Amino acid sequence: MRTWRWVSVLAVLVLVLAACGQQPAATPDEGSEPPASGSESEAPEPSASEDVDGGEPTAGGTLVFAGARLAASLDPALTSDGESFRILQQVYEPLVDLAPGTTDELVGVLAESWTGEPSDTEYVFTLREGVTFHDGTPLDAEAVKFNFDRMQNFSEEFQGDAYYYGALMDGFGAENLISSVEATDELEVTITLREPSPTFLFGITLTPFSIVSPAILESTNADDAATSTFGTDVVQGGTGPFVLDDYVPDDSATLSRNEDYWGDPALLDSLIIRPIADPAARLQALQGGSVQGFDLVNPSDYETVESEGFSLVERLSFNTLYLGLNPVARENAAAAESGVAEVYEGEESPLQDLAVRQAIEMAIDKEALIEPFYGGRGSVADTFMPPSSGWSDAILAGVEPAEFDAEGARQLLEDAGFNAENPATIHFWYPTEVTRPYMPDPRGLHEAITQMLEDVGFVVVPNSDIWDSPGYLFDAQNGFYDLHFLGWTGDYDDPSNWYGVHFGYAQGEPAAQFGCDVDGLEDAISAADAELDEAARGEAWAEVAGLIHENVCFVTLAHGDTALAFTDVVQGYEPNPTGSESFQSVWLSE
Amino acid sequence: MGKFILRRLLLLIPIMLGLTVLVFLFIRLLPGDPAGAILGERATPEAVERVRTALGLDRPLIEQYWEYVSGLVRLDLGTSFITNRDVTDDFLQRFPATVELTAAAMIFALTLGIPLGMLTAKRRGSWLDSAGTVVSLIGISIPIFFLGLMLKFLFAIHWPILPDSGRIDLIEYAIPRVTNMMTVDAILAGEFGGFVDALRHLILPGIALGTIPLAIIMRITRASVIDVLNEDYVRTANAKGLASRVVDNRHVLRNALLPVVTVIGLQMGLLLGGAILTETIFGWGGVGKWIYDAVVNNDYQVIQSGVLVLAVIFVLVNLAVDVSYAFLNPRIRYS
Amino acid sequence: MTQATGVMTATHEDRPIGLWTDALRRMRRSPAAIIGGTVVAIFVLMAMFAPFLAPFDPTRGNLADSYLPPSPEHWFGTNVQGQDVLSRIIFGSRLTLGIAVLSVIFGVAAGGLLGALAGYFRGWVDSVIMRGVDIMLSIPGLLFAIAVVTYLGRGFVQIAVAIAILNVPIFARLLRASLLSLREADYVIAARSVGVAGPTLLLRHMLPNAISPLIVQGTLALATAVVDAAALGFLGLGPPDPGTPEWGMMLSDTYRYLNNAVYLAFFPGIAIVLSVLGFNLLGDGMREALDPKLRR
Repeated sequence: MRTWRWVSVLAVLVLVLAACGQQPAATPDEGSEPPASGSESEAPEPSASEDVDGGEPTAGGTLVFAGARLAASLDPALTSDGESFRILQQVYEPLVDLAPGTTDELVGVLAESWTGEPSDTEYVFTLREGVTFHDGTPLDAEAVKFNFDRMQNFSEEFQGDAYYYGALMDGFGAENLISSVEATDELEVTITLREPSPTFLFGITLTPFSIVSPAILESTNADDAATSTFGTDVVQGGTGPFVLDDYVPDDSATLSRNEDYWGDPALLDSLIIRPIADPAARLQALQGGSVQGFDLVNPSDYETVESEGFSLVERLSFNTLYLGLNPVARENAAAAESGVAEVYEGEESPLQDLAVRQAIEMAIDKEALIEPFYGGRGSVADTFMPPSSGWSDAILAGVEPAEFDAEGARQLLEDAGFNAENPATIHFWYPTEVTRPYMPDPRGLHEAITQMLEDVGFVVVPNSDIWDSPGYLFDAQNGFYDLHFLGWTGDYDDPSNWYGVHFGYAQGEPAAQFGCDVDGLEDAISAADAELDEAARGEAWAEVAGLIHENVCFVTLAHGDTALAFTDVVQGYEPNPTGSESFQSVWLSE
Repeated sequence: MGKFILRRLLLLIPIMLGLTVLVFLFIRLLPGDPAGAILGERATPEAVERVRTALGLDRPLIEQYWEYVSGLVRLDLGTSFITNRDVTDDFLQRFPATVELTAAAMIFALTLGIPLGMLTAKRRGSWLDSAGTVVSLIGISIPIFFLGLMLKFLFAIHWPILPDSGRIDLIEYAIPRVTNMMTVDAILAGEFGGFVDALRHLILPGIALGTIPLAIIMRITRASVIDVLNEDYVRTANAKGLASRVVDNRHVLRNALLPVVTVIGLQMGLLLGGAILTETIFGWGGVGKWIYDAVVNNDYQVIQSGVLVLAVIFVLVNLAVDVSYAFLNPRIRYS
Repeated sequence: MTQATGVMTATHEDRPIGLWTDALRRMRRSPAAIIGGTVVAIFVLMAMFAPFLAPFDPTRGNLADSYLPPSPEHWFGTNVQGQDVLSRIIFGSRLTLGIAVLSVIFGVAAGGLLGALAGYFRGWVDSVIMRGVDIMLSIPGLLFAIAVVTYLGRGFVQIAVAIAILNVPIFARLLRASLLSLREADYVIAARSVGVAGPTLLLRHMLPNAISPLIVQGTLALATAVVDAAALGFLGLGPPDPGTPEWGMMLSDTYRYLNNAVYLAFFPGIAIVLSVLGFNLLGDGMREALDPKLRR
């Protein structure tokens, strides 16, 4: 009998615990209580959470927000992914940035003004007065010089992680794009380039080019790979609207308002970012009330989010999923003695035949992918440029998109000499442990496209690897994969950030990832990159795009639409197609 | 007794040595090169060579092994090649979370498993016994990841009465981390509400992780209580007219719990494995997810230190269980 | 096996019926064994006759049919590819049972060999093997399997090997313990006294009697192997071909869509629970039937 009692006491205890803390603050229906807030769940515009109907912005409160993960490193220069940027750009600021909500307008941040045209090699930045780092040291021209010199002189251990600096400044060391960075006055910095770079200013808007307090860089030994603690310690080295208070890997990053911010101070008292890798689990956390907002809503959940009274903040699509084709992948893998080479068993790649590549392009019904994988919100990618880009029409003028034609694809394949006895065998790779805005379900997409290819007579060998280096990304970018998924979210709106970054030649060699060596492509890219007149630049890049698509170096598949979800007390989040967004203007109604 | 403990401690030495060799060799057999992992896509052969030198990977295996073991002895677990974070720090930050979760699961399993086992044993053959047997069989057969998903769906999403993930409500309670065990830290901070909230966060993951041990403990308790109930001394006690409560406590429970103690030790290994799944599902920042990520990302330093520390802890727990077993059971003679 | 039975009946004069006949008879009276055996038989038949039972091709679907809820045409609904979930579960039984059986065979073979060596030779061989077993048991099982799969790759056989490795120490300990207790058994002493020695003693007199706990443990190990295989799939370490119907992978793939299509995660989960339950029941029933101590 006693045992009975004991069991029932336990059961009651659990029930009491379950009942006693039903969170009032975070349940979705709670937000409708405040008076005068009106019916906001009806607002259909993407910017439903803006302050249109939530009353006047008020300061105060804590926002718990879920991303897919925390930062790869706390050193902004060593990061290259959106999840790291999300946290670090609240803390660190660049000289100039994209204006909120735009992809091609620049505004000064730490630089109040600047001179320098796309055709120039000299840029003069006048810094804002009275800006101090979170550690109390002042921002001056020397600090800016210190940061740029640091990145230019990164030792090899850091160079792999300092991806953006290397990619945008032509590598590291004295021979790269940057000729000199000089403090020409207390608040004046002059950056001289070796040659004109029309996109230089756009490049330095990125989080890796943020300015960090030199005192902090020195005290954390930031430049010594063996002893540096800058990437791991919680330090007060930024100038941004939030200060990093606490950082527990895999658990949470806690930021609080910078009371001494040079601009309008943030409205939130504190911002906590939690990593939840799975999009479904992020939505569950919003439904369960443990977070009040999250990024990268699974497209298939858009309806759920809206029907349950949460607000959906959609970004204009600024990304593209593509299928990379590499005719020389097998040689590359063998030459590099990569483990990938083993799967090819020395066979010759059918992708060397243009007709086979065309057959692949024709076999894929891009339209069919949009509904199941992008919740109907994405769009078919005819070119690399997403619809929100100002260049998409100009580029499309130079590209003739292939129509889906399974019969035609089969015919092409047969004419190329492949049939049931002698099938075209391709190895097709997808990444695991990852979802990206352009790639919500890599496995599912792989399976769907495999079926389309098999339907026209290809033999597809599935392969996969984990996303993080030295896995999938490394092998894909080094050109070891026959056929692979990858995509791109633009950093700013210029074709050079799309076609240029992917297909640019280095020392006369085509980009390893695609092995796309087309006659005239190298010259076309150089010419397009140097073209400064906007209309002519569009035409020049359209010519580049034409060459690439004609030769089927890749097949652009889809533009994914991305969105954030918030409980309806969260107001004032300003989405940007690039995903580069500040929480400074976010506030909680109530 | 002292001799028994000493013998068990001595036995630990070859096991520990074997473990270090196994872990050390295993990660050096793993495909991929840590230097390549660090350099990423900009890896030139020369750069890889320089990084290998910096990491000491070009030295003879014996030398590397010595470095590894002497580091372990100094409690210096090294630095992660991938995140550049100090492995000791990371471990200490996460391990308390896993301890908390494991403890919750174990408490759930014991507080329900032992009484239910006794109950079903005393009513052997009744409908209650049959129901108990069926429930415990299902409990053993239900995978943690399926149970966890279903619990979360039912009690956090469909009927939102419990938190879906995390360890505490971060908006309501800003609790300074002292021990990294949320319940303890909340008490240290004098936040009773925070303590209750932390307990609520433990319920679903605790049940998900504790169900299999619950079922096993229930079965073992039932079986051993039945054995004890058939012993002469219990029959005598009952015949003497001792109150059943006294018989239960003084004679049955104490003797019947002996086999249960052993099972608890064995369950620890299962719990650590299960923590990988539970932590993934409930967003629990513990050591399970950390080790899992290290293995799939080839984070050698974390694997070679983390796995070893976990194994050592498991071995020590089992040793403690064996020793307490010896204390509890005077009948056992250790030679 | 018949030969073994002969040996045993001859040595155990007090038992009128052979152990196996007796065990079978008692198993038929055990409801656990009957239910478990039936469930297992159903899954085995499902795996064998999958092509005849499955209403649709498990790997072909139409993207236009994705996420259909359960209906008379698709009993368990369809997944994102528009594939029939029921058909995938039916075909999935092949992979899951295949991995489970293969892993137990590997595990019994390797563990049994180690246990036999340790139990027969004793001395330093025993010490070395048993310390190795202790080391293996001190690493959390699932973690060990994850590491092995990361190292070997994610093929069918590799996954089976990874799970088998978890079973090796268990079988090794089991067989060693039985052999040790059998060394002192009257009939072994008797056999030894008439000059039977070496491998003959081990193979003909000791092993057959040590085999029944091995069979029971093997059946129970099938249950854990099903769970382990599904757990690896759930964690994304299943077979690399995303089209492969595997219960754990189906569960984790659809977990993503749990919010609006719960049934997608529910059915593969239930398939795992049922098959595991079947093996556990059967194992329990066999243990009761084969263990002389539990005879009523």
